[in-house]
Amino acid sequence: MPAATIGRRSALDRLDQAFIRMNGFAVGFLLLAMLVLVFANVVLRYIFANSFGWVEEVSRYLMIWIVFLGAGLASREGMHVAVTLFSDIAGPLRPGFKWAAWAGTFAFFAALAWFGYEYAMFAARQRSTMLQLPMWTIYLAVPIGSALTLVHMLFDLRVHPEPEPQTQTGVAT
Amino acid sequence: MSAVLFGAFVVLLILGVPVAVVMGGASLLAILVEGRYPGLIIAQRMFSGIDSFPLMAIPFFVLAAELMTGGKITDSLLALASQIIGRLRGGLGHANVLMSIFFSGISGSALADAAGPGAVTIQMMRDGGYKPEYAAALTASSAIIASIIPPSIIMVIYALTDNAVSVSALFVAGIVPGILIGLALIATNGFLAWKRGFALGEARRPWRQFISESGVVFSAVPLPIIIIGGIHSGAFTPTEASAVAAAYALIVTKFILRSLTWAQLPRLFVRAGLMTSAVLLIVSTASAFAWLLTVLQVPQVITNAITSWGLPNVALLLVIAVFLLICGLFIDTLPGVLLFVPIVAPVADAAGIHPIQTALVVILSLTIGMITPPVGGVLFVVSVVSRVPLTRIVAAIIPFLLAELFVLLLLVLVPAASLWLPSLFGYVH
Repeated sequence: MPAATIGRRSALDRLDQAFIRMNGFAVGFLLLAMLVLVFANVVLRYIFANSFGWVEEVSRYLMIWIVFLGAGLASREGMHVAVTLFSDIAGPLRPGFKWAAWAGTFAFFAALAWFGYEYAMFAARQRSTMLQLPMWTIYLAVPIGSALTLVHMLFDLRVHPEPEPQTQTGVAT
Repeated sequence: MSAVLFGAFVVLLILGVPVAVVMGGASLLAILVEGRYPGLIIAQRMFSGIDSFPLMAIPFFVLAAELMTGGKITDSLLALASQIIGRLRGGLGHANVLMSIFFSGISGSALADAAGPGAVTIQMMRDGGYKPEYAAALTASSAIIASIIPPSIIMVIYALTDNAVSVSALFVAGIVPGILIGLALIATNGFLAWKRGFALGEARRPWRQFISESGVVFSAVPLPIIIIGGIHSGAFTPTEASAVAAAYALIVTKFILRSLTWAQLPRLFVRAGLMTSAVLLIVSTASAFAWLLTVLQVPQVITNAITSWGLPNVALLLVIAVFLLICGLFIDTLPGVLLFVPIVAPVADAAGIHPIQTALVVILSLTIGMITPPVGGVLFVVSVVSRVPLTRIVAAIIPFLLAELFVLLLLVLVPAASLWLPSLFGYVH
């Protein structure tokens, strides 16, 4: 019985690691693609006096995908700002604060996954102005990113049985 | 509806829910309870809040700073700062501030300064015999220069929130106040060094030797020139300038200096991507929150109330600064700008204060909030990287905090401090 448990746990751990790596790869790759597109367009404009109007549109949508795909992974890296002042001084109530914050965050992303999906379906016929891309392919970033965040939050509970607060050190301003 | 919105905001914030989720969750609850709008409007508002080309400057500026730090350019910036000013009494402290001014020209983020080069300078000052809390306090207070001297992420966001100012005007306007903060900190450090009898710094290396050992530092020089010059001349939009800066940083560190390995690159891109996500998720949910505030006509009510007081300009700016300093104790710079600029900017504008001066006062007031407890992002980062407890840093930071409040007062009282340079560049009519 214990052996089976250990075996199952480590398989889950490997799955978790693969999930983190693939999520990270997607975020990093999209950022690289954004950089290449915008930089190449500047070069094209100055060297060949010609640039592509669709780059502005595509790179904008890449950024939106980065934001929602990165939300869950960023939370595992403790990159979201939160005010932990009150839970820090809450003494014995501290676990209560942490669980409430975890549950509140989970509920928000669950709702956002649902409403994001509804919105993508609602706007299913919209197309983008330059390339006539179906807009639902971009709107889906919201529900998919939210769903991935939920998975990250569940995986994180295995690593930290008590939810870890965000470190307040994340946002890059 | 406003009771739900503000009640949920306060409760979620106190529980320790991430700020992005606080604003998104409060908005969603208010929308659902009110029932006038469908729930999917939260997704629509969050999406349109970040569906913006100018916002793309943020990932690229973050990436450029990550690449320059990963490629060890920041170490040689520190060497240059020590070379210039390090031999004076309290010289390592002076070098710390000067290094922050240099780093500000390639980074738009105070937290990036505190976490990257800040960690190195604190260690260097400790090795040089400074008290750890003194080193940490000085590093924290000089890190905020990165948000004032261009490029600046918070200025990009400010310009999107207040249409009366452009990113390029704010970038130019930030240079003088940023340098003033640096000078104020250097003066404070010098005074403390003299009063407390700090040792003299090490003697300067011959410049010829410095250039052969740390000459790579000059590869960072074109970056601020590309950013400011490119945007101001109209050659690039701010977003394009940020992409060129990131590409430049990549090419220099990877192919010219070769100080960056292939193995490091994916991690730097992922980190920059995740930081982008953390910043823009706040922008995203804040735009839903701000939309609800507009629906509830909150900005209008506050604007009318303040305008009815009929304060003279200086008093009005002072009230704004004090109000934002108090808010800054509890709330981060980014949500601060997103929530308060739509309220504050029209009031100041109606009173005839130049929008660029308002912008600088607002940005500095909220940025100082990053080094004040109980909620101060830069303080937390510095405490983590220096392993000095927060309370000891807070005690040591007071003189530097006073120096920065003095500069803030100067910005309030003297319009020229923020308007003189932009007027030379033709941004003030």
